Amino acid sequence: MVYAKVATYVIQKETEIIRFHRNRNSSRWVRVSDRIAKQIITVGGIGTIFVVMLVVFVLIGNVLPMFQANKMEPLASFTVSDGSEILGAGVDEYGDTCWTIHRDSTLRMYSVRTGKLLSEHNPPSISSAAEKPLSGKAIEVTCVAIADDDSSLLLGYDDGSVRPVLLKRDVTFFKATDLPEIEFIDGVAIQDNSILRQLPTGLIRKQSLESVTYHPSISLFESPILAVDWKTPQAVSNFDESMTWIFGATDGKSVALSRIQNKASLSGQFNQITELWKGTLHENEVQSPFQSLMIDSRGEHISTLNAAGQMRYWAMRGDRELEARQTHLSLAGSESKSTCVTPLLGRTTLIIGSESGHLEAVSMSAVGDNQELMSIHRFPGAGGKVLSIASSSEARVVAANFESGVRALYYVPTNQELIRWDAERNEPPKRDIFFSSNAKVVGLFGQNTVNLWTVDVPFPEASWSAFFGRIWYEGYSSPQHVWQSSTGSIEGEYKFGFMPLIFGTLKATFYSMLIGAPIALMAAIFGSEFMSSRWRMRIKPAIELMASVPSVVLGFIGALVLAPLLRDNLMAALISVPMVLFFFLLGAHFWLMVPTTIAIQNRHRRLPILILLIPVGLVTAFFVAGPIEQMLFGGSLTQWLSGQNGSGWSGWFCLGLLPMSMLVAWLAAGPVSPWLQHKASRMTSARFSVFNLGYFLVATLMVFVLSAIVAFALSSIGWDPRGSLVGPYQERNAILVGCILGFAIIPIIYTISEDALQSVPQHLRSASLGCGATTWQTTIRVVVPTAMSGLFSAIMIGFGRAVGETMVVLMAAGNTPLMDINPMNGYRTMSATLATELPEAARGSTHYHGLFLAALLLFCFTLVANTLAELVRMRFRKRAFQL
Amino acid sequence: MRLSFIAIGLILFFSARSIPAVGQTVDGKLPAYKSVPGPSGQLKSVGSDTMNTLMLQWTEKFKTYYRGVRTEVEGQGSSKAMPALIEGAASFGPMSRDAKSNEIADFEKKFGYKPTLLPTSIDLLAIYVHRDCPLDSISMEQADAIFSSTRKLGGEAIVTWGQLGLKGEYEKQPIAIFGRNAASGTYGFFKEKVLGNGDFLETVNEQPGSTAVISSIGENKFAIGYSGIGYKTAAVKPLKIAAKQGGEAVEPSGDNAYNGTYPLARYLYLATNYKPTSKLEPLRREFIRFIYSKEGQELAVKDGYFPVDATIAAKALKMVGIQ
Repeated sequence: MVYAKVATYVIQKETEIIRFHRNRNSSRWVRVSDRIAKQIITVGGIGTIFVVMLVVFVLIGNVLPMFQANKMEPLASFTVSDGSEILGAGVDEYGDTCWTIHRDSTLRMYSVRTGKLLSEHNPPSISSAAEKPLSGKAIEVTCVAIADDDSSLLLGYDDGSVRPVLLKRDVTFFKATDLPEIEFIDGVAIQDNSILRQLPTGLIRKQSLESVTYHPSISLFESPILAVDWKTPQAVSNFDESMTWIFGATDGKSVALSRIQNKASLSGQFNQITELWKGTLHENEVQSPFQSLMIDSRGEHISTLNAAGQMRYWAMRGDRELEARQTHLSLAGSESKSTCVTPLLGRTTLIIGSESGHLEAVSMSAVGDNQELMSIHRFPGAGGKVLSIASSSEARVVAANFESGVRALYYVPTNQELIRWDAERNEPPKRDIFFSSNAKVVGLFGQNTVNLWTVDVPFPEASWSAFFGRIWYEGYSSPQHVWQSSTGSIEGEYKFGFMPLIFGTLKATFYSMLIGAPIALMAAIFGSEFMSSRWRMRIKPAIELMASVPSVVLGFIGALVLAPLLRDNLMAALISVPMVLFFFLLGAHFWLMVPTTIAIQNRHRRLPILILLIPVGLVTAFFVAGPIEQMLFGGSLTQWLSGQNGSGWSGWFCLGLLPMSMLVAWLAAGPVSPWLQHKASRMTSARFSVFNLGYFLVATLMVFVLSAIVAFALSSIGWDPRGSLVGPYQERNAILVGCILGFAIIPIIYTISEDALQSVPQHLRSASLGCGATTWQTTIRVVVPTAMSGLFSAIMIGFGRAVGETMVVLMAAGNTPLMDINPMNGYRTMSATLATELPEAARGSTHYHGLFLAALLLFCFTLVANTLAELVRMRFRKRAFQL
Repeated sequence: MRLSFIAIGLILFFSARSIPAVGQTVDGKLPAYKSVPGPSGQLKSVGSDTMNTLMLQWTEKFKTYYRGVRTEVEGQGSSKAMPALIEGAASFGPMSRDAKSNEIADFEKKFGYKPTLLPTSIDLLAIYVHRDCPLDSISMEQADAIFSSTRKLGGEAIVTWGQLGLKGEYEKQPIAIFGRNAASGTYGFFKEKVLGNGDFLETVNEQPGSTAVISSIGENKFAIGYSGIGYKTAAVKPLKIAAKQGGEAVEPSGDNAYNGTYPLARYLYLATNYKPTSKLEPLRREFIRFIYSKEGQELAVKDGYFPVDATIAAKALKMVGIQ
């Protein structure tokens, strides 16, 4: 009714004003400025929408490249001139030259484009009688292992020896004017033993195999070598040329692991220090001969595999011996046999191809305090027996060649097939697959043919399952959500699990809202309904001033001042909140005891007394914290939290206090209340206040007794809150950040909700009070429901601020990518991750584009939250209007 | 991102960086720098924020030799170096880590040759504890067992100080772990060398900057963390490190870095676009010569790093065609 009246009045007034203006033309200036303002506003509005859209497009534009299709193109195929069988091959990083190693130890270099033989290299000793066995038959290569960088290899021979071979490439540049006489076909020319290529920048790159060094062979066993492994030689230190070779070999029964240090002396000569470890299985343990082996990333352990899929893990023992520590049956214990094996990049995982066509990854994982071999992936291939597999030196990608003629590339952690292609019709069947040193070229070689393809797999790590699914990473004992987005070297495994970040963002929001929102709302209700307007006018700007503290400063204070303070006085801090509340309630009860006349006279002293009770509560908390900590937690809460002492009982007791006090409060207000009112009606007010105080103290005692009983029940059935609800205390934790972030969102929630409460029409209050309701009843039953839409939007705006907040969480939350609700440890939010990692992520990497996906997620997050909030708010508003 | 710089700047402001490397001298065979006529124009550097102060010191000193030279140094992270070189927006890109293969590939795609990374000085990473902590040395295996969830070096997980052999109030106390932010060069280096490319525990508190790590350790008696040796303050103590369990623990010092016994030494690089077959223009040539002079290396020492010796300097100069 009132609204209707006001509305009619306003309309009348407006028509009057319009009538008043109708007779006069607006001045030119007004019309011009009106038009200008209209244009500016239109441009501004459309511009804002455009900019927001642009942000979305930029984000999407940076995310989409990750999901582009992988590409494959045939590069070359050629037949090797006569000579013995090819055992290994490689392609240089530019895809210009290809080399093959043959059964007779010959190494040949070809031009990829024409297939022309560029150079041929033989071991110097092949002609010397010293290395020939007595039978007079030349020794033959049985197996080859090639380093990741393609610059060295190890040959295993049928006389039980191995021989390292080092390749030295030479790349030089020339100006086009230096070599005028050379004729280029498609930008490539062959001169002597080298390949010349014209570059778009006008330079000419000359590439040749400068030298091939066959080192003296090292005799390891009596019988032929069946498998070798050669770890890419690493420099000993940055400061000289010393290199360490680490290799392993097996003759089927025994294993050898050797480390040769080539120390550079001052004169530039190398002196070799050889260390050799050997291990042999007992006769009765040998089921089938070792078929392949892998040295681990540190060159201290070796894993062997036999055809039946049984893996053994050998560790060094002091006395130059290898000892079989563990065995593991791969291939899921099936009847299937392993056909081929390759170490995955990083040498922690061994990929096994099987007769059944499956690929399996076996890795050493940390289980409890031990390391165990585990089959972490097993997935079907593209069809038929796996003939050969090779692993990329750039990512955890394997290439496999199947009996059905299909070749495919897989990203091992997600088991995802990246690309596949079929064999051409006239290709010979038995083929070995290999990668070039930079994984840009995949090749297959047979008896005397080589086929090459260029493959382009720019983002193997990017897939929805990698971002949002549980992945079984190497070294882990189960599939998990993990965020470890960067590694020191290429050999580390990238882990882009977004779930910990999403969880962290939600956790940050949850705890800050848990702390900030009730305080702000209650403060607003108090300020608006209970405080005198004089005080309100002073306090509101003061609270609003809190919002002007930069969040960097807040984060800084939190990290360097509050964090140590909270750590050293954790128990006191935790007790202080219930303690202050207890003192408030106690104070209220004592206030009731004050005679009414005095109470009314000293009404204005109520607030100062209330404020005074805060330090009283804090000091009491500080003094009782020590004894309580001693009594419940064996003297140290942090040690109790990390499981060092005490039992679960005390934890349940403390956790139970809040629900129990709510239960008791509900009982007191609900079922017991009529009885109490009945009693109270017969008492004098002085007696009632004493009775009420006793009632309150009994209720408090009840809370303690009830929680003790519940805690006893829970801990006697063996439940411990540690590890689930609470856990080890971290200095940077959710409570700490919740307090600071809560501080940051209090002003905004306070201001908006106070305004909302103030805008509730005064006549509603008057009507309620006039009907005999107390101020509290009026506030809760009339004012708050009416202002609900405003309160809700205040909370949502606070929520939005908490979600997007960066600096506070970056500096004070510890940035630990945990998925754990425990308030005693930290978290890592998406915004903090973006702030720290985007400047460091290599442009164009999966990491870089993945961070844009995180930004897009954050955007969607706030968009959805705000839309939801707006919808709910509109519903509330509609209801409020009906009042 | 800008905010994080403000934050880091703020942290730097509140805890001023100390100047260590006491008694460290530069190789006597390094030549003193003599200015030559020629260099002028703009010298811009974009890259590592670890090396930001060092680059500023070098460029400021360099300007005292050449009046006509203007310099600009941006330190936003090592990953900014390569894109800036590719776009031609910078003449130098300081990097506290090696170039990643895709960065090199991008560079090579544009120019046909690889970028040149000059090793300018040596940084040591140290594992720090609070100055009152009785622990003096640690093995790589123990460090891995404290920091890592995958524990690739094979030890049992270490959660409390008692497991490191400390008694008294330390025995039952859990270890608070601090580290650098993910994706920084320091983080990657520690992950590779100490964790054997394994993973950090999720409970490692990642701090946005080396000084933040040090100040966090400085006010927590039960904390451990890693950071560059240049950031050492009086509140913390760098531990001696043993490469092997039971082996001899060596302290982070220049000598131990050079002879390879201290396991956590790394180069700080300066990436530049050097076209093979060509000669560098006077400005870049002289700046590089200055860095590898006695004066340039002394500035590195002053900033808390360790200098390169004359052999490495000669090799580096040869990489860009300076004899």
